Amino acid sequence: MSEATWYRHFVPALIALSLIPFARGPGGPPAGMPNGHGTASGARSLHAHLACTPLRRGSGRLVERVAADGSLAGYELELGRARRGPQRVVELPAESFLGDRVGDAVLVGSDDGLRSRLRLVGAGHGCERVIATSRERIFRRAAIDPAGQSVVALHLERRTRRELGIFRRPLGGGRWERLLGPLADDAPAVLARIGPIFATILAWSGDGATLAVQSCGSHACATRVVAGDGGSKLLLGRPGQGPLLRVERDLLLTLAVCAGTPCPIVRTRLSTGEVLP
Amino acid sequence: MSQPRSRRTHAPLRRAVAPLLALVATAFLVPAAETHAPDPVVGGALWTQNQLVEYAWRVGQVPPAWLQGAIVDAAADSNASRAARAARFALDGSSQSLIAYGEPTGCSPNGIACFNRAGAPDSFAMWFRRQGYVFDWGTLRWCQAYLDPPDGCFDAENIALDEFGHVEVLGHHGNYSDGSDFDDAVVQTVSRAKPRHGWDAHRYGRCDVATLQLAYDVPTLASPYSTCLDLVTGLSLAVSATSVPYRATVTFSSRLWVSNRDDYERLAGNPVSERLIRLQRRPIGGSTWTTVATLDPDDSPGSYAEALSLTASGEYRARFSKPPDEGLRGDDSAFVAITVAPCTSGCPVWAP
Repeated sequence: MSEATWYRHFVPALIALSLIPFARGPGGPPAGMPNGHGTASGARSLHAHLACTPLRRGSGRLVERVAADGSLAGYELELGRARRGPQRVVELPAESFLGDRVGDAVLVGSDDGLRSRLRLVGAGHGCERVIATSRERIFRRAAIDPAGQSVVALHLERRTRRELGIFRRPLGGGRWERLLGPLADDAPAVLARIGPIFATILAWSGDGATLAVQSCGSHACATRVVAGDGGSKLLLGRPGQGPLLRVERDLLLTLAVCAGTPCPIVRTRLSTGEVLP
Repeated sequence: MSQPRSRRTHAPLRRAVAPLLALVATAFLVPAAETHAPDPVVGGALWTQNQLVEYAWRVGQVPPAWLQGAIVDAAADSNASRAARAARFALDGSSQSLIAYGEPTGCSPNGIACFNRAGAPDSFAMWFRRQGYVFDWGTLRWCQAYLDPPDGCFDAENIALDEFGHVEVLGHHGNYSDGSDFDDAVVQTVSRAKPRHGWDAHRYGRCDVATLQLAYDVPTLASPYSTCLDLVTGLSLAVSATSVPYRATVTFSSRLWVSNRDDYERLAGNPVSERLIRLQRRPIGGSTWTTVATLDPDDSPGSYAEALSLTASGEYRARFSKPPDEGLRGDDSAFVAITVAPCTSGCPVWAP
C-alpha cells in the first residue's frame, strides 16, 4: 500500500485523538514505568479475579541476567518495590518485553525460542494469567487497550521473524483478528528506506479510538495509525521521524532523527500528515 | 513546537529527550542519498585540536574482555587514520568519559551502540548493547565474542570506530543509493554485518577524514587533503625583476594556498606546502606554455622558489596541477612578463 493510499483512506474519525499514556519502549528494559491503565473499568474487571498484591512504588522493570561471557541470558522482571527489594521476581528469557500495567499486574511478553506467551503478572502468588500462547508465532510486542478489553500484538513468523502484522484479540480469549498487515505490504517504499525493523512501538490513544504502530529501522521510524476497529488507517512515513513518544489529540509526538545532540520533539498533525514547525 | 513548554509540562518527555543518540545498526539496505560529500556533522562543541581525550569503563557496566580489546583497538584506529588535528583517544581508568556495556542506557531501542558528546570538549559517553539482545529482526551478535565469528555478526572494532567518529563530530555519511561508495566512510547509518563488504573496516574513510579536516584542520601544511574534498586553491607568482640584462638571474617565487572560503572552515586560507609547482614560459604574446623548471619548496609555509638565468624575454606563470591523490583543485597563477636585454658580449656563436 502506498503512502498516498494511506492518506486517502484516512478519515476524520482519527483526528479526535486524546492523550495516551507514554509509549512503551520496544525491546529490552523499558525506561519508564508501565503506563497505568488500571483505572479503566475493563481493566478492573479483568484484574478482579487475579490474586494480586498491590504493587508498591512503581510497577515493574526488566533487569538483565548476564551469562559468564557477558552475553544476555535473559531478564528478571522485578515487580513492585518493598523494603528489601522487589515484591516479586520473575525470570524471563532474552526475548521478552514489559507492557502496560493493568491494575496491580503488568503485561509481559516472553519467547523461549519454542513458545511465545503473553501474560498478566503481578506481585503475590496466583497473580498470573496467560492471555495467549503460540508456537508458530512470536508475540514481539503487545499492548492492552485503555478499556482493558483487548490486547493488540505484533506477530512475527517464528522461523523467519517476518512480520505478519498487528493482531487484536479480546483479553478473555477468542480469535486473533488482523488490524494491520505487515509494513512490507502496507508501505514497501518506506520499509526500503528505513531498512530492517529493529523495534516496534505500540501506543493507544487515551480513548482507545486509535492505535499508533511505529516501526523503527536502525535510524528512522515510520508510524501507522489505525482506528481501533481497524476501519481507517494513516501512514506517517516522512523521513526524519525518530521514536514515538505519544499520541496527543490530533498530534503524533516523536523525536526527530538526530545524533549527538538532544533530539528535538517533532509534532505531526494526524489529520493532514503535516509536520508542525 | 515549544520544546521548553513540553519540558515544563511533561517530565517523561524531558527524560526521553535527554539521551543523545547515535544509532548504528545492522542492515541489508542502504538509505538512498544522491549526494556525495564529506560526512555531515553532529551538534555540540568541538574538541580542541589534537586534544587527548581519555576514557574509562563505566563501573557496573564494564565491557567483557573481548569487547574491551575491540574498543581499545578502535581508539587506536581513530588516532591512526584521522588525518586531521582531531581528538586522540586513550584508555585511562580515571577518566570522566565512560564507555558502558549493557543496560541501563539512554539509547533508543533501535541501535546496537550509541554515544553522547554533549560533554565535549570535556567528556563523552559511549554505550554498546549486550551480546544476545533481541531486536525485531533477530539476535545481536558481536563477532569478537566468538573464536569463529559467524556470518551476521557485527565487528565491534568497526562499530566502535564509528562511535569514536561520532564523538569527534561526524554524522552519518550520505551514500549513493546503490551503496557503491560505502568504503568512503566508516560512520554509516547502517553498518554492515559479516560478511558484507566493509563489515570490518578499521580506518576512517575518505569522507570521514574530509569532515575531520574541515573541523579540525590537517595535521601539517604538507599533509594531503582528503579526496572527498574538492578545494579551490590559489597560486601566485612574483619575480625579483621584470626587466633584466642578458643572462641575469631572476628569482621566481610562488605561493599556494587553499582558497579563503567560509565553507572551508578550518582549511580556509591554509598555505599548502610540499607540493609540485611548475614554472612555465611562453614567448611574449605566445599561446603555448612550456615547463621550464620546478619551484622548490621554500622555508615559508606554502612558498616555493627558484632562480633562473634568463637569456630571452618571455611570459611566466606558476602551475599547480590537480593531484590525483588529494582533494585540491589545480590552479595557474597570473603570468608575469620579463624583458631580457639583448646579448652584448660573450654571446653564443651559432654554427652555420
